[in-house]
Amino acid sequence: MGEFFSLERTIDAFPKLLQSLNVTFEIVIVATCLGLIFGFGLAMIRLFRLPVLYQIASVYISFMRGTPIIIQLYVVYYGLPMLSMNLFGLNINSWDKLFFIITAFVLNEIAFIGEIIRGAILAVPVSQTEAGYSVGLTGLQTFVHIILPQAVRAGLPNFTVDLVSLFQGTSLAFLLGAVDIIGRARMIGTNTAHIFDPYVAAAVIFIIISVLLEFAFGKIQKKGDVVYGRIHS
Amino acid sequence: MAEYTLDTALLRECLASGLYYLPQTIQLTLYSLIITLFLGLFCALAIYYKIPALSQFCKIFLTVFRGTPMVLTLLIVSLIYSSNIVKIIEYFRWNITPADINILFLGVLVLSLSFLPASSAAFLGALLSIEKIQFEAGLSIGLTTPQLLRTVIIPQVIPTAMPLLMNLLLSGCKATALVYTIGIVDVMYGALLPCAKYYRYLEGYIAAAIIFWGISIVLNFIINRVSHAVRMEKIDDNTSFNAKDTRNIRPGGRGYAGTRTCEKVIR
Repeated sequence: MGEFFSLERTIDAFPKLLQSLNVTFEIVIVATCLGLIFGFGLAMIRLFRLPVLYQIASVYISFMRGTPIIIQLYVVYYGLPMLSMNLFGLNINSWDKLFFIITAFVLNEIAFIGEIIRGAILAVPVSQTEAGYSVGLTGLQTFVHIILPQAVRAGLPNFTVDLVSLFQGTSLAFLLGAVDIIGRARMIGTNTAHIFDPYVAAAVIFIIISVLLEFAFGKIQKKGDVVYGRIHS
Repeated sequence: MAEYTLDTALLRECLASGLYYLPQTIQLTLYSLIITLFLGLFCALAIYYKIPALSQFCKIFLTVFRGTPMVLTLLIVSLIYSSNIVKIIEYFRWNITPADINILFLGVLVLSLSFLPASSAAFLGALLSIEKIQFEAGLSIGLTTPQLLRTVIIPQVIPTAMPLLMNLLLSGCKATALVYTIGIVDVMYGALLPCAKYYRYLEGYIAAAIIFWGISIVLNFIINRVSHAVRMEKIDDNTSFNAKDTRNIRPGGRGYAGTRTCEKVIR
């Protein structure tokens, strides 16, 4: 079997692993975009305390934040076909695994981003809204022009942490048989009988992308602080 | 269509089986949390005092574990373990076989390493929010640095870092669900045990979800009580904490600004 670790094999693994990066990015981008859209709705439900919907949203968020994503993945994977069969009589057992994985991450991300948006909007002092009203803006105008720009900057640090953790969380997709970076690493491992080296290469890819993401969002945050001034005091 | 209905009897069986292994999950969480607290405080102090070599090493170490997904750490560590344990046993001439070793320690090792970025970030943020005067006051009455840390600084660091450490407890407990992938028996493993007999897995995962949800609701309740108590104490004790300090520990607050990116959330 040769030595346990070889630098050559690790470097060889990189191009093959990078081919699978698009699967990871697909999950991250779809989950983040849908999470932002529906999370905003969820945050509004929680902020305006809409009756009935508020209770449902609270239970939903509690479940999504209280259970590990790995369990959510499996529950969606095994539960969604059952649900669709019972509700619509539609057999989706044979659908692509990626569909179930993305669905699970979207559902999870809605709850997490919803809470971030809610926290960000609450971080803007009420006096800002009052100031908007006092100069004659309507509710919507106040929200778009006064609250939203400040809330975006207040929520950005948490959003960055969430994005990085989502990116790392997608590594669980291989457990359902998706060929993401780790799935590909395992494939290389079974082909070459050396599994350790592709794992190390995968870890390096994850570390680099995580650091880059944090760096990029840190820059954006700083730029916002420079242009508009810090909002936390 | 029997296949498309939930088997409540099996669900109950899975719940019972999962709860039977609850002590293992609690053990895993507590052990790794205690280890990570000490290591995290150590790293935070090394970085805070800018100890040459050690602080750079800690920073690199933290970046590596912040960037690597926990499941990958788990895979790599268990791979290193399984391919070297026989050699280690032969080298030391221990009178045991690999099967005698409790694999729980592997889970504790990986979990505590994965929690390390979060715990050290919490401590570092708290250290940075302590005013310089506190250090100077301690030194001025002739305390040595270890004495200063033990009697003045750490008692202030712990309540300030508490909210983040409590979050770590919550996310850490959830993270233990992953260790079943390397064969450690915990709630997840236990809940799935009855499923293998019937080849129906949904019930097992739902049972695991219910148990973890329950744990997190209980933990949330405890956390709210503790953070309320800490906040009350801070308001009473005007000398070392005032309203400004409690605001600073919030992620995004000023005291936190330098360390914000050190956070890591494990899902």
